[in-house]
Amino acid sequence: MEERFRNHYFVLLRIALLLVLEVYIILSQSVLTGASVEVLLILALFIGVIAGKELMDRRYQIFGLVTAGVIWIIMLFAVGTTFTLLGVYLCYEILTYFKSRLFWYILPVGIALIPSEIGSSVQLITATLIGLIYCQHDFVVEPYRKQTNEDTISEQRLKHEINRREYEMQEEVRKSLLMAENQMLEERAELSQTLHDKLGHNINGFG
Amino acid sequence: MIALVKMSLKLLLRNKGFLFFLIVTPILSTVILSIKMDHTVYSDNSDKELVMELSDYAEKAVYVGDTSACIIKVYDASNSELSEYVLNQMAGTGLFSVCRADVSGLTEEEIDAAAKRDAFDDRAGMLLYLKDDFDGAVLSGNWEQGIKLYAVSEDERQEIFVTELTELLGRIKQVQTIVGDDVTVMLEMLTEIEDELPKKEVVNFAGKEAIELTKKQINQKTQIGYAFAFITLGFLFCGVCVAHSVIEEQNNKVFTRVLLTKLSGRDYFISKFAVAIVISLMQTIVLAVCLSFIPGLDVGMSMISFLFIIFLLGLIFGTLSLLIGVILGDVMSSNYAVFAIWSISALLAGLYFPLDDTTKALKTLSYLMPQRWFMDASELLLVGNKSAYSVVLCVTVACLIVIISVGGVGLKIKRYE
Repeated sequence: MEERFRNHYFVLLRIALLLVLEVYIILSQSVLTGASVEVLLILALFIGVIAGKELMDRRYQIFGLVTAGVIWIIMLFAVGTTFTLLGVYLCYEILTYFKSRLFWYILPVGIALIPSEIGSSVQLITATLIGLIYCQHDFVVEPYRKQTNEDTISEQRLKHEINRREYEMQEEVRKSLLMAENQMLEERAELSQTLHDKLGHNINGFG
Repeated sequence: MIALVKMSLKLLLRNKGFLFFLIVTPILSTVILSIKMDHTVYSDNSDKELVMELSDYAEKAVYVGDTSACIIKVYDASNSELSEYVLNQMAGTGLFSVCRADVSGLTEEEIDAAAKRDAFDDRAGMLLYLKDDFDGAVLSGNWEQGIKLYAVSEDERQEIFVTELTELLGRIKQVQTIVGDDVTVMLEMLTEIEDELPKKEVVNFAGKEAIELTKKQINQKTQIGYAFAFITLGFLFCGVCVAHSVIEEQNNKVFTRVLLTKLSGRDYFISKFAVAIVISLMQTIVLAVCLSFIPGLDVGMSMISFLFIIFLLGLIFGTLSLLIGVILGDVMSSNYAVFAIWSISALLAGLYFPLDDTTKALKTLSYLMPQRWFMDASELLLVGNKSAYSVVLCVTVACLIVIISVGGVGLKIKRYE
């Protein structure tokens, strides 16, 4: 369970963050009070597209992001600037998808400067915190994880190399031993032959 | 896929727990709907016609009174039965929201000062001072000596108030001439006269923004709320039964064998979703059969509309519990989870207690619960507003999108296990 969570923590964190943001916007702005069922549907669509994106292959995820962008623009026109924070969230999703450089991660905070009913300071702080979460993952956790993976792979490779060399060395030693033994046997055979010849000659000489 | 759906349904129909929830919860809902209720948990706005008590004469009436009516702040120094009767009568007209502060012991100068302050700080339409000898002044016929009016706005309803008050005091004087100076007897007589008068029936025509329900409709709404609560429980546990079959199939390698055929994992879960739809339909049919046995049952809307709402509610909760069960992978944990969801969502949606007097945050939070929307849609249907259908359809689609997409992510993570 912990291993599973560790491997997919960022997906879960992003979905949880989106849900919390939407609930916060709904609660603080009461956008649903007054039977605004259309807003509920649009918000649900936004969650659906962002969560559905996670189920797609990476090459198709861009379509999910584009659809989410269209929904966000519709929200801006239909409801107003209440949903500015969702735009910030979407920008970070796009930046994460394209694995952009750190500089680009500062820009979505600028969206939070758009005046809305939530209040500029709250919006700015929330946007900064969202940015920090994404930066932490993309520039601290992800490289660390990548490095760990590379280290693990190189460690495995090294171990394999050591094993291979050890095997080769053992093989070499075995071969050398065999050769030495062979040489010794050859020497012994040669000596025996010489002794045999000498002794044979001498015995025949006596005869 | 159809074979999978058939197989799942066969398995479910052999499950006694599933049969219990399939049959018993609709029966319970029917029983709730058939009970003739004389009381309601929902506010019927009748409290608007009562005198609001202020804790202190410095308290602002605008925070307590009904702003849709003309707010009258009363400094009551007499604190008598008669003053209470008069104020209740004035509040009962429905045109004025009467807020009374007990000022016994304060001098007239102090009241004048308070009235001057309230004229600027408070938003009351009129200020009224009932002096400590109010009863005596009314009974002697010189009521002007017992009452002091402060006109603090240019509200034309002030004239109506004065006319109403004069008429009422005149009526009291007439009764006094019949029964004498005993205030208690006078009030009894006045109450008896009122009971003899023909009752007015207020028929409200609802606008888009505010729906005014009659007493009968409020009772129907209360019953529908309880029925929703019971039937939702049934839907949730039936969903858990479907999830149980999925868990069993995974444990018994049936799922693996299904994957070895032409079907994919997605097809398998679509078939289970289809089972959830069929179960919602089955429960709705059982409810329809149960309701047909109750002669003269009136839920305030057509039976088709009511059953349609129930079906959509079942679709939401059936899918929710199915996904929770599959993600948790354990029937007991799923039972705890869905029961918690049921309790909290029904409570927050206002199915048990009215949310009219709760905080704004709680009211807004209630709009995140599908039951709240379904109750609002029922209200619309009670007053014959057809926009209720679009409301329930939008809410159902919204809930299904969130449940399936977020549940899909959960299933994807579980797949890596």
